[in-house]
Amino acid sequence: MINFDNAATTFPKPESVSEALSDAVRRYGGNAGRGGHSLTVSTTRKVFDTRQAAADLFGAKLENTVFTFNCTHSLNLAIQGIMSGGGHIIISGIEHNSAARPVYAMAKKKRCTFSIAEAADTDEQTAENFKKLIRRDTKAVVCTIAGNVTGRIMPYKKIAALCKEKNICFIADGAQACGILDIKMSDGINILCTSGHKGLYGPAGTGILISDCKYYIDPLMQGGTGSSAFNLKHPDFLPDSLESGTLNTVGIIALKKGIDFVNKKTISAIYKHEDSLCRRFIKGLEGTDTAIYRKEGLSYVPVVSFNINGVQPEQAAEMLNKHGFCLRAGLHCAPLAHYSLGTEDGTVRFSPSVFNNSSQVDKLVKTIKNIW
Amino acid sequence: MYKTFVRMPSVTHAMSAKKLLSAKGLRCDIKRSIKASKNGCSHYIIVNADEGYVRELLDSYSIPYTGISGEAVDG
Repeated sequence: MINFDNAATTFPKPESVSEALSDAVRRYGGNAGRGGHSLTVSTTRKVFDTRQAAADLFGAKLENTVFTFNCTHSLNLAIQGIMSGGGHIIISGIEHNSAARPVYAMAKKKRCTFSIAEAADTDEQTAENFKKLIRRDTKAVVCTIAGNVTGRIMPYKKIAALCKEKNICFIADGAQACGILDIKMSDGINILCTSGHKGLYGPAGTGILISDCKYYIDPLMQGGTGSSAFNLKHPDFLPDSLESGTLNTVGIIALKKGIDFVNKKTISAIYKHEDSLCRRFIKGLEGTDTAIYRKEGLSYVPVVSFNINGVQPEQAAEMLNKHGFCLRAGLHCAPLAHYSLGTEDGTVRFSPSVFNNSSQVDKLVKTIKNIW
Repeated sequence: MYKTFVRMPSVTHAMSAKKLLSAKGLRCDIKRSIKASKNGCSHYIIVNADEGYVRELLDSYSIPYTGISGEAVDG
């Protein structure tokens, strides 16, 4: 099988990640931050090393780098934590359900109100759409750095600047961007949410939330943190306030190797490689009866959404699967993006990783041409 | 010779402090409190340096601590 569904989760993983996972299960069996015996100390050190690597990657403070179980978890912590006192929140028109659903659920319970800023044909107009929706009670803006359906890179720095000017918390969803674009907290991000298992090549069950601590995140969960245990009041400092209960130490330890892998390859080289595969794929489909969902003048991470005219996306993906290609079809958990695109039946999504190569892309193109 | 004991809010802060102080050439160890403090289990660091210097370093890097005390020791 050739995997072109790396926007969902990257596979394969680097060998170093697999080895670290196995090593962690066998050797690092302590509960990080709990107790002082050697088993827990060695595990805690390994978790600390990953925390340092993640903080360095995004230009963050180590203590403000929180481990979660995935990007959805990070986004829920951020959105519900920032909006716990009510207020108005703006999300983009291409948000994944990981951001849109918690906002909608809070609004349904009358815990906040929300507006959706349309992703326009230009970055300037998109930023303007956010600006127009800002109200006196707007507390936060959630915007994906890059959409998971078409890979469109949003004008997140412009939106961040706007938020800074208006004293609004800017929550960035980096699921499709981290490891692909050089994202830094200094871009104006107040809270960065991302997964560990996509562009950072870590195992499933790993996610990251990074805060610049400008806005307090009210914890969604309370529990054991290994600190201030006499106090029934949950800690109010990071990372403990958002890390209740035992961490996914095995996954976190392996995530360090994923981040090391990205650093060694370099983000720019990874982007260049995957972008060239996308361009090759798009070029390969020229002259066929397909629709590619990209627009001139906009920027994209290495993701291509397409449809074969007259063929349901799910049917196309099923057929491609029979020929040995893994591509995801449907709504990709991002219905808002499909309303914008006018693709209510969904799309087929091509998303390469650093492990794919041009000959695999050529095989896919040839297969599409042969079938349809 | 001086030793400074710094009570840290969490193990992550303790490890951050140790990393910083070690990088500054100071010998630094992380220990669990033998007796639970009023807040419960905690980690503290022991640094071979005087309190003022340790305080200055931690403050300059915005590493929080919940208590600090120094003492002169033989040697």
